[in-house]
Order: sequence, then C-alpha cells, then structure tokens
Amino acid sequence: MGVSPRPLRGNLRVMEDVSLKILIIGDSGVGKSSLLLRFVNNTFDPDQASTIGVDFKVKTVQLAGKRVKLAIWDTAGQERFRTLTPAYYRGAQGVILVYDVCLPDTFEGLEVWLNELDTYATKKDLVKMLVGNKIDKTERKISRADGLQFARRNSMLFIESSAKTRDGVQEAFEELVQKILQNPDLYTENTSTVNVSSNPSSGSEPPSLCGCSLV
Amino acid sequence: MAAMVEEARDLVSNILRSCTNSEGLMLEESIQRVLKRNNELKMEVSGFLKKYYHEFLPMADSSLSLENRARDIMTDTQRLTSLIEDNLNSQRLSDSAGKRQEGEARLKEITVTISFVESLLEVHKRLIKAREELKNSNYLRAAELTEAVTEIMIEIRGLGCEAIVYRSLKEELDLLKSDIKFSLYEEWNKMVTWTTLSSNNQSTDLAILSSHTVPAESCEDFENVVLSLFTILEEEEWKARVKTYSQKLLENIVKPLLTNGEHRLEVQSEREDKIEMMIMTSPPVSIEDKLCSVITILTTVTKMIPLAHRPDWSSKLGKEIEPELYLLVHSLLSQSSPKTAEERTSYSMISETVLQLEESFVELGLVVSEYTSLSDYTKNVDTHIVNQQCQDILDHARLILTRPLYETTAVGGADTTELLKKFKFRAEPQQKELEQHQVEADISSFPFSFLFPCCLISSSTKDLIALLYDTLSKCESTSAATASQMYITSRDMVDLFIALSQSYCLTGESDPLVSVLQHNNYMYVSHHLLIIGRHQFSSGLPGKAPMTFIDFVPQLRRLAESCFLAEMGSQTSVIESFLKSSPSFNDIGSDPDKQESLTLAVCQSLNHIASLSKTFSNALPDELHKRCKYGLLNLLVSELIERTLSVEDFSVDDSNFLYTFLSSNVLEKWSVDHRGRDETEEAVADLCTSWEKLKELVFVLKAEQEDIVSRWGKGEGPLSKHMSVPEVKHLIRASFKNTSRRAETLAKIT
Repeated sequence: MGVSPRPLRGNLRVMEDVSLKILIIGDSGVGKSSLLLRFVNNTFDPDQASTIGVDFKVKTVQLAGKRVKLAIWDTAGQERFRTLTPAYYRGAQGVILVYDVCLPDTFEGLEVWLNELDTYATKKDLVKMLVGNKIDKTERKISRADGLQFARRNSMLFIESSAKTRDGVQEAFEELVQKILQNPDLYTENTSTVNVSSNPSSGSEPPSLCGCSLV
Repeated sequence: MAAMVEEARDLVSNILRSCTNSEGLMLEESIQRVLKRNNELKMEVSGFLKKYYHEFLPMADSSLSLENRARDIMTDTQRLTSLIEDNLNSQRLSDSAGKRQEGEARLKEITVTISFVESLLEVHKRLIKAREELKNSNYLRAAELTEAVTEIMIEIRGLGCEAIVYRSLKEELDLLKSDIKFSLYEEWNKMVTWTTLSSNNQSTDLAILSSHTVPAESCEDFENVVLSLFTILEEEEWKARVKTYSQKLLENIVKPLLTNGEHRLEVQSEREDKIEMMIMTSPPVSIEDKLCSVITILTTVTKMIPLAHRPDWSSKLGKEIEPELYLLVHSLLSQSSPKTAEERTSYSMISETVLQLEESFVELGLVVSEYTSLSDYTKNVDTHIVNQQCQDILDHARLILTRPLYETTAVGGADTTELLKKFKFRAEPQQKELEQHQVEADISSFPFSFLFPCCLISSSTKDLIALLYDTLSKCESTSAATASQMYITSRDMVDLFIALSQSYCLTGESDPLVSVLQHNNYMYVSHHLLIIGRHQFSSGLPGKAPMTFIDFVPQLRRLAESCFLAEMGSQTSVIESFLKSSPSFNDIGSDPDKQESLTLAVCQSLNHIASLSKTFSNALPDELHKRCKYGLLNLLVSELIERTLSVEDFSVDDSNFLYTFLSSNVLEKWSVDHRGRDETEEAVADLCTSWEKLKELVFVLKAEQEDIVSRWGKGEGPLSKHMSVPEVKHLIRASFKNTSRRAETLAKIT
C-alpha cells in the first residue's frame, strides 16, 4: 500500500513505489515484441522470432513523482497460444492492443482481442491503449483516422508508432502509465515499499504527449 | 610430713604449757581434734600422692617404650649406613666399566673416522685426477673417475662424520659432474646439429630439413662423447634429451607428413655423416606411401645412433615417439576407413603396410613386443567401420532431435501401412510370394489395421522413425555382429528420444500444444516400435537375436498417457478456477451482480474450451479432440446442473433468469458458436453426458406441473431418462408452492 512522503535532510525525498502490470496483445507479427524491446532495451531486431507462449520484461520509470515498476507481459499472437494468454490478463492495469497499419486483418482482429480482454480481464476499468505499429512502412493500409475512430468507439487511448524508428514507442508506454496513475483505485493495492530517490526532478518531468490522444 | 608433725608437737607443748591443770579434758579433746585433723590431713596427703603416682606411671611406661624405639632406630641407621657404603663401592665399579666401554667406542669411532678421512682423501685425489682428465678432454676417463668417486661417496654417506669435509667434496663432485656435462654438451653441440629451415629458404611450399651432421674425421670423438654421455648422464637427463629429440622429430617431420594429405617425404641426400629429409608439397599422397615414409624416417634416424648403444637408445626413442606416432597413424587409418565394399578391398593394401610398419618398429628396436594396437586396428577394421557408422547414425539422431518441437508434420492414414510394405521378405521364393500375398490380403481385408490416426507430430519424430527404419534396413546386407550393433544403435536412438522428450516436458511450462505434440510423438514412436522387428524382415536380418523394440511400447504409452492426462488436468483446473469465482444460484434472479459474475464465468469457460478446441483440432486425432472438448464442456455443464439443483427455493425471477441464461448462454451459444459443423446434436449428447440433462433441467425450470408429469411419462419419458426421481421431485418442490396439486404431481413422479 502507498505510504505518504516524509521529510528527509538535504534534497532526498521519499518516492512512492508503484508496480503496474501491462499486457501487450494483438495478432501475430504486428510488432508486439519489437515495441517491448524498443521500450525496454532500446533495440530493434528486424528478424525478431515469433514469441512462444508469453515473454516478460521489467522496466522502472519515474513518472508523476512516483517510481513505477512496469511488469510488461508480451503475449504470443498466434492462434495456437490463445489458451495460454488468459491467465496473464488477471490483474493487468493496462493493455496495449497492437495492430499493423499495413495489414487490415490485424486491425479487424482487434475486435476478437477486445472480446478476449472483456472476458478475462479482472479489472474492468483497466486502461487500454491502441497502437498502430509499423508506420515507417510505405504501404500503409489503415489510416490514422480509422485507428482513431476505432479507439474512440472503444474508449481507448490511441497512438501510432514504429518500433524500427522509435517513433511513438516511449510515448505509448508513458501515456498509458500516466493514465493508470490518474486512477489510484487501479494500482493502490500494488504499491509497496518506500524508497529514497536523490534525484526527484528527473521523475517529475511531464511526459511527452506528442501523437497521443485520449478519445 | 615432718613439718606437720613438728607443728603438731609445737601445738601440744604449747597447749601443755598453757593448760597446766584443769583444763586437761579440754586439752585432751583438743588433742583428739588435732589428731583427727592430723589423720584427715594424712588421708588427704595419701590421696594426693596416690593420684600423683597414678598419673606418673603411664608416663614412665611411655618413656621406656620411646627409649626402646630410639634404640631400634639407632640399629636401623647403622644397618642403612653400612648398606649405603656397600652401594657406593659397587657404583664406582660400574662407572669404571662404562668408561672402559666408552673408550672402546671412541676408539672405534676414531678408527672409522680415520678410514673415512682416508676415503675422503681418495675422493679428493680422484677428483683432482678427474679434473686433469677433463682438462685433457679425456671425457671417458673423467666420467669413469667421477663414477668411481660417486660410488665412494655413496658408500661413506652413512658414516656421518667430518660432515663439512664431506659436503665440500660432494659439492666439488657435483661441480665436476656439471663441468663434465657442460664440456660434453659443448662437444655434442660441435658434433651434432639439428636444423630446421624456414620455408622462405626453400623453393617448395613447406620444407623442413633434419640433419645430423657428424664430421667424418671425428667419428671416434663423437662415439667417445656419446659413450661418456651414457656414463655420466643420469637416467632422467638422458630421457629428457631423448624426449626433446623425439618431439622435434614428430613435430617437424612425422606430424606434417601424416596430417596433411598433400605432403610427402623426400630424402634429398644420404651420406654417412649427413641425412637430409624434406617434406614437399605434392599432389595427394596415398596412405601406403605415407606409412612407408614413416618407416624411412625411423630407419634414417636410428642409423645415426652409435652401434654400441643403438638398442638402448632405440628403445628409449621408441618409448618417446610411440604413443603420439600411434595416435597419428590411428587418426590416419580412421580417416581412411572404408565405407563401401570396394574401399574395403583396397584397404587390404593399407593393412599390409601397417604390418610392415610394425615389423620395422621391432627391427629397429623401437618396440620390444610384436604386439601393437595398429595391426589390431586394421584387423578389426570392420568393427571400426560399424562403430563409425553407428556413431554417425547417433549423431544424425541427435541433430534431428534438437530441432524445435513446434516444427510439425501431419501423419496418419495410409502412410503407416505403406511402411509395412516397405520391406521385402527374404524367405524361399514360393514362401515369400505366399507371405507377401497374405500380408497384402490382410491389409486389404482390414483397412484400419496398423493405421495410425491422422494428427500432427513433430517433424523431428517422423525423421527419427525414418532413420530407424533406414538403419535396420541396412542390417539386411551385413554380418550378424554388425546387424546386432546396428540394432543396439537403433535402441539407443529410442532411448535418446525418450530422454530428450522427458527433459523437454520438465523444462517447459504447461502448453496445450506442446503436451499434445509430445503425446502424439510418443504414440507415433510406440506405434512403429510395436510393428517393427525381425518379423518384418523375415529371414533378411542376420543373426538370431529377436531384434524387437516392443519392450519400449509400454513405457512410451505410459509417457504419452501421463503427458496428456497432466495437460487435461491442467485445463480442468483452468475451467474450475473460472467457475470458482461465480456465485451460488440462490436469489440469483434478483441479484444483478451474481448474474454478471455467473455470465462472465460461463463466458470465460466456453471461450477457453473453444480456444483449446482450436488448438487441438488439427493436432490431436479427431476422435480424441472431440472427447477432450466435450469432456471439458461436460465439466462446465455438470457444475451448472449441480448448482441449480442445490437451490432450495426458486423464485419466479430465479427460474426465469436461470431458464434464459442456461438456454441462451449455454445451450444455444454452444450450438451456434462452438459446435463443430460435423457434430450433430446426437453426437454432442453422446460426448457430453450431461448435455441432455441440462436440456431437461431447462425444460423443468419453465414448465408447468402437467408438462413435467407428461415429460416424465410414468418413468418412460425423456425427463426420466436423464434425471432421477429425487432430482425431479426436488426441482418441483423448489419451483412450486406446497399445495395439494403439487402433492399430486410429486406422487406421479415415481
């Protein structure tokens, strides 16, 4: 549970630790693992292998005066792993739904993923972020307007990104986290220990909102 | 006493003097009293004296006894004194004897020291002489003197006297030995050279020159030096010298020759004092030529050894070069192991050359025994070939099994029976024809015999089985021993498959597709191991061993079963976890939260079963896939029925909600969304045993009492087929008020 800040000598300040569970879902090959790799390791592998089952990475960011420990679950998009993923929906505070802007099938598949999400997610007010990936490619088939409309219809955040060029990746995650932090009911049971940060200013900078819109 | 008597007399005279007359009686009385008093005093004095003497007597007795004891002590003291005097006399005697013995020992020591000093003197003289001989380059004489001095030093080493002198002479001896060795090395270096020329100096790609240069005019000197070396060098030093020489020989000449197929030996010139061997680059050289070159090298080298010491030197050289040389030759032979019948025939030439090589080893004195492992190798070349083949097969199997499990291939149907026809029978022609016809007739009569159901397996498993058949088919044209070894290798392949599959199961998380693939892989392998064996090859397989794999089948089936059951248990737990979160059905009609919770739980369960069904649909055999799917559905339906039947009192809202929910969200949803196209309603009822029961339950929830009685049909109607009397009565009691009409209805449910 959260603990109120206490005054300390010097410029040290107590920061609240928040743990969040983020899920990345979407059809196979839309770039879920690449988004995660870009966000966590700032790397990109053009020959990224298909995820088997579920992958998991952790990254800590400082946002809104809080140290946020993100446990990001990257699920396999292939149909054969569909029975594995529901177990990972439990307790998720945020979900990133990814589609490929060049593949209409992956955009149409979003309905199925939303249905899965509604069926298995235990937190009904979890924050959803729609990400149209691979905008670096020239053969785009899904316009930004279509994506925006879908996101608006399903009460989701929306952003377009490219894991290859880094466009929008950081913003997608940060905006999602910001939105979750605005609803303490979502994460209060996950806040835990008290830690001391000697550089509070770095964590309190407002996140970039470029290209991200709440609809 | 006397004083007292005197006192009495004085008293009487005084009394007599004072009382002269009349007072005679009084005086008498007084005298009487005085006498009485006198008697009392006497008695008192007498008592005192008695008491005094009574105490005095014991003291007197003790004094007497003390005196006696003092006398005894005096006597003892005198005796002791005499004894001490006697002892002192004897000690002096023994001291004298000891001194005498000491003197004798000292004398001996002095004698030994004198002889020791004499020996040291002798050592000293010989050392001086040896030094002179060394100065005059008479190494052999110097070495002999040094050897003699060493022997003397060893003899006198244990005497332990004149240690300083001994140590000095020992140091001097060591110094002399070092000087002799140094001088000999110098001489050796003058006479013997070993030169390795770099390839830059030669026109060929690689040229290594080995030369022993012995000036012809100094051959005697050389022998003198070598003989001296044999005398002076200790065993270990000699070994080290030979070892260095052997290493150079192997590294510079033998190894390049044997390891590179394009190198050959060329003896450029051969004289008494100098031999030049060159390794030239040339077109590929045959193994026989290479082995002959080894013989030439060894012959050339041993020729350089002085004849007198050749046997000893050769054996030492042989010991040094033998292990690595054998390894090199082994490696060469194993690389050239024949793989075909033609190669096997030409390999006899190599075998002969190996025998020649062995003989030359013995002739040159490099080895004592005629027995070496090289000829064993060539004699057992067939075994080595089989070993290599088996090793290759196992390597291939390992390579196959390291491929991902997810790389799948469809199997089943006709391909299984095709494998049966793959092998030809090798019985007598007539019998063969008969048997072949019989088998074909059997297969056509029972088309599903030996038929593996259509499903997905890992392509690696299919390839492994193909490799197994291939390996066994190779046995047909081999000897019994080879066939036996190939059969063992085939079994090893199966062992390898089981071990790797089990380890994969242990490390992986629960993944339905992985479990199904594992199950199918096990069943596929067990299916083939059940039908493969000697009977398939008839008399084609040599030997009499059973050559069957049927013993693996129970183990593989057990593994398949446990793997699959574990997965189904895991999936059952998932469904149970969904249902666990749903509420009881009491007052559910008026509680939206309960309704929502139940709807979600059922939706999750149905969705999960549908997803699982999609995963299983292609992977598992169709029949098994349906049984899994409907088994899980049956779990859900049974739980819903049980919860409905546990409600004690249904309100109208409860009945309406449950009727609508169960008919729409379960029965219709399944039929519309999840039921397979080829699955009829009857098939669903067969596979999901509680399906019809749920339908009847839904009917009762909405039906009037007459309808229930009518559907019960006096125990013959459809309701009675799927629900028991207590269940129907419970539902009637829970749904309808307690009226005479309800009692009548209940009475009809028997």
